[in-house]
Amino acid sequence: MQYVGRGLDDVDARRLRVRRPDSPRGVLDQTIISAYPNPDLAEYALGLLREHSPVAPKEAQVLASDRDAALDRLQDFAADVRKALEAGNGVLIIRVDEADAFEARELLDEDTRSLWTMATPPVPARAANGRG
Amino acid sequence: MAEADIRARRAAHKRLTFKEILRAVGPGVITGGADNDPAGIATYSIVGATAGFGQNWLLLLSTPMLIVVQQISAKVANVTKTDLATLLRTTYGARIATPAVLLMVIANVITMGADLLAMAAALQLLTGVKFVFWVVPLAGLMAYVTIFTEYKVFSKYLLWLVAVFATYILAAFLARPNWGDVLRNTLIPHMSFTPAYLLGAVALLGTTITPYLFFWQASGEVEERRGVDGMALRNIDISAGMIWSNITAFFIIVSTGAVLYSHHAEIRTAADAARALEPFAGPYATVLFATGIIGAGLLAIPVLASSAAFGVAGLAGWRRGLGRHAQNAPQFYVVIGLSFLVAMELAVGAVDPIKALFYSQVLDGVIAPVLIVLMILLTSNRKLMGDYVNGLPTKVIGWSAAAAMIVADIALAYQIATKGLPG
Repeated sequence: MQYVGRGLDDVDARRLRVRRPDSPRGVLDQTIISAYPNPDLAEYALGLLREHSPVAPKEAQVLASDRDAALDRLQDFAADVRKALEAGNGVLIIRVDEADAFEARELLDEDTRSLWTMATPPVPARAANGRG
Repeated sequence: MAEADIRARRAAHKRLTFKEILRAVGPGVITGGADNDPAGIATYSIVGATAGFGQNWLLLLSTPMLIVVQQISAKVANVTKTDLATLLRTTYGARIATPAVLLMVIANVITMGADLLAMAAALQLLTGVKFVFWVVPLAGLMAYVTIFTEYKVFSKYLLWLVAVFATYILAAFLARPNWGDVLRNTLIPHMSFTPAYLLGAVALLGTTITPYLFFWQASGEVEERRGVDGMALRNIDISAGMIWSNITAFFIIVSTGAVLYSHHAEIRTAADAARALEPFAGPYATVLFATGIIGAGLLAIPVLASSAAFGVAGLAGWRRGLGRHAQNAPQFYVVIGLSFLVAMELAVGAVDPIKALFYSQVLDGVIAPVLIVLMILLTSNRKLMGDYVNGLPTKVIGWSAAAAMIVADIALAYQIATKGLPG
């Protein structure tokens, strides 16, 4: 039997474990908002999230205008987003399962070097869908 | 009500089984024992030796405050999914976040220096080699452990070394204090407006409700990816740990009060502090005390350095986390390395380990209320916390903690300004 450390071809995958959060899925959702210097960078960050992260956003959108209907759903955070858009920034909004929110926020906050990243409080998944 | 809403509410307010509670309490009790770092042990010993049981009531008063402050540190991280420094920056801006975090970093580095001195003094007790020769090897070893090894694995074994402080409980009973006196001083608050008493009070509150623990708790929740689902169990775990931490502190004070205060003996060296364990350990008190101090230092110093690095990296928006490899979060690990260097420099330059340990906790007592106020404001903010916003009991206890510490700080500043520092 080959063991971990002898090169990729020889890795004994039975010894590898991918740790997933223990939180139940499908119960709560959270929205992560990130601002970038321009909309292109926000699109780039979204691409990075989709291609290189195990997090699958339930909804994802890059805002470039303060007239977007998605702003209404952000309630208290809408003012922060409007301010960023008025400054010419691109804003990425993703909705994820609460169990994935740590990973999503970490990626947008630390790995993509956003101008700022905020998370709305967790809400029941159905209410976040706008179909509550 | 929609089915998803019902499931969400059940997840947030589910009834816990006795087995679940027992399982949650275990690690908390062990961690609580580890919360008493060398500076804490020295502070409790000095308070016991200089004021007897006279400040026990502060320990009782601070227990619910400590629990609430730690619980809100955990809650804010689990709801917002980030650490305290990042949250302060994104909510209040750099003007407020930077000084708040830098105060914590300064207090941490000074406490690291004092803890290094305590460990070196403990090694001097065991080997007879002067403490200054131990500082650099100790700092090097711990910097290596923090940066290049898995602290979590390492800490599991060290917890057993720190368990020796539980022997203070036996030592306190064997020292035969006047228990009526102990109870009266624990249950009935009384103040003495002298610089020495107030200095002890500020240090005792600062070492109990200590700033680095807020940052460590929040960063730990983020690293573990706990989330809001397990918060009820988490709160039980935190409560058990903090109660155990303060029980240990209580018996350290009772034991040193009975052994040293009653004989008007002062604590000038680590060997003096170790005498409080003599009723239990006799001639082995020094070995037991030194072993505990070394274990406590090995556990606490990496936490202090990491909390400082979490703070600075959160302010700057750098990659951070002990789960990340050094190459993946270079600035985070550079801050850890720098804090070890500065702490080592402070420790080498210091002449009196016991005074350094005590005054580092006075500094914590001055800084803590600023951070507590900011944390209560964060966790009372409905925009950030939604349905998880602080309830009335949490607000009352949290604000009381900040108020008690601010009053003690102001009284101390006034007394020092008018009467000077005690000798």
